[in-house]
Formats: sequence, C-alpha cells, structure tokens
Amino acid sequence: MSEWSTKHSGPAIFSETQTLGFLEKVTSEKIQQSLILWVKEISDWSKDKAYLVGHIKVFVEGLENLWLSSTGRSINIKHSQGWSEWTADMVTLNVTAIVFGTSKKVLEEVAQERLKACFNFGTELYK
Amino acid sequence: MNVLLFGGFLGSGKTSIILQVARYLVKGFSKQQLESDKPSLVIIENEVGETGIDDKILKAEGLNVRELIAGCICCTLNAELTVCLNEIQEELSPQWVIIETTGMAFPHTIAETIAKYGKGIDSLKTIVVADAERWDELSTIMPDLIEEQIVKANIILLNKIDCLEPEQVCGVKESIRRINPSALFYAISAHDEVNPQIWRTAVTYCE
Repeated sequence: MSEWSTKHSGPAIFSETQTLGFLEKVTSEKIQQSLILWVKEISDWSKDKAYLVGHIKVFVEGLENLWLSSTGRSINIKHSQGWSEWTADMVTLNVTAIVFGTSKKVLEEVAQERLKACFNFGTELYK
Repeated sequence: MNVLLFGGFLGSGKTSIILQVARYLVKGFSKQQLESDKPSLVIIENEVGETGIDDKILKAEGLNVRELIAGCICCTLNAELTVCLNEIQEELSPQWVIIETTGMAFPHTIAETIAKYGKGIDSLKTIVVADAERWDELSTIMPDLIEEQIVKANIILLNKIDCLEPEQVCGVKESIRRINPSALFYAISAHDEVNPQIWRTAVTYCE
C-alpha cells in the first residue's frame, strides 16, 4: 500500500443521524445484527477497493443504547444493561464511516445503499 | 484545573480509554463534589463529521460533555477549543478537563495553543493512544502523521495489545520508543478493565 499525505488528501466522511421507524416491534438482536452486517459490508467494500478505514462507528439511541466500532477488522460491541431484552418500533441511528482513498460522494452512496439493504424489514426512514 | 489532552489516530481506542479514566477520576471525587451543581470533570469532544457519536457514548455514562463538531481540530478548531476551555474555567472551574481530539489532530500543536492562551490551567499533559493492531500498517501508510502524534506525548498508551503476540508487542514498543524515548509508556487492552494503577500513575504524573 502506498504512503498517503494526510496534509493534502483528507479522508471521505459519511456521518449521519437517521431515525428509523418499524412497522412492527423489532428485537434489539435484529437491530444489532443489521448494524453489524452494515459495518462488515463497509469494511469488506473498503478492503476490496484497497482503501484504508479510519473508523466506522454506530451509536443507537433509544431507551437502550448500542455502540459498535471497527477499524475494518474486528467489531467492538458494547451496549447498555437492558439492551438484550429491548424491543423497539423506532430508533435513532448515529453512524460515521471515515475512509481514506475514496470520495465523499462514493462513500455516501455505498453507505446509504448498504444501510437500506441491511434494514430491509418493514422499515421507514424519518430523517 | 488539570487538563488531560488525548490524541491518537482514528480507531485507536481513545473514547474507550477516556471512559475508563473518567470512571477512575469520578470514583475519587468527594461526596461534596458529586453532589455539587458544578461538575468536577468536564469532557470536550472534537469529532470529524456532522454527527457526533463519542459525545453521545460519554453522555450515556452520565458524564458532562461539550462538543466541538466539524472539521479537524488541528486545522480549524484550535481557537474554538481554547475559547471553550476558558469558558469552562470561568463557568465551572472543574478539577479535571479531558479533551478528546480527532484522530487526525496533532496533539502537541493543540497543547502549545492551550498552554499559551488557556486560563487557570494547573497542569496539562498529552496522552497519545497508539493502535497496536494497526501499528505496522499505519506507520507504513502515514508515517508523518503517526510520528508527529507521538513524538511529544507525555504519556503513550499502546492499546489493543490483545490482538498481538507478546514478541510483536515488544517490536511495536521499540518502534515507538525510537520516536519518543522519554514519555511514560504503558501497553494496555482497553477492551477489558485496565489496571487502575496505570490511571493512578498517569493522574499523579499529571498533577
């Protein structure tokens, strides 16, 4: 991999807050698995393209919280005490992916598209 | 006011470590401090991007957090950070302030600005977190950034050592020592609870 000059070429940043509404109550496990899949897909896409992941972070805000973080390798998972028993009909997702080697536009398209695909179970998006 | 300035590349584990340090500091507060309207610990979070995540994680722990979101602290928010720090000093005068810089920042540049223009600062120490798992990759791809983050640190925490074999950890340590031989150095894994003795030493060193 070549040496990048960070002083002149910054990373692409995808950073958004999205509120998702579900048609039926969804378990925290299902939300967690969908978000793990999203983090994995962004990591795999970056790896395939030989990009460098700065970090990928997710924070789920609701009555309970979930925090995922990764540098494109393993995924660090932390959650509030009652997370595992929680079900929700609405959650607020805070997501950030920082990737070196691509453009903001491309990263945004990929991140949005994969996020939609990972939540393909009766989900409505309220931005 | 004692300031702990945390730096280190994206994904090195700064927020996880700050959570543990904050818990350690709060444990040492008196009943009076804990019941006071004014917090004894304030955290300033600078994040890249439009949505803050680290500030929400820290707030979920009940910590007092000020956000500086947008851009990179080393390029654009140096002045804003000093203004924020001085406001905190005037309004709250806490015993401790922890600053988490972005993963692209040069902590020593920020420390120099704070030392010059910050008010009411009793101590200021720079703590840099290095990512053991990605050390070889990052120091090959962006050696200037990684070296400049580490070179003037007072304390270096080599994090994620659980991802390497002991001999690999020794290799990374040697490499870091060549860049900064004088800093206090600890090899840790913030994935688990870190020995509080390390925080005690770091805090004592900072007083």
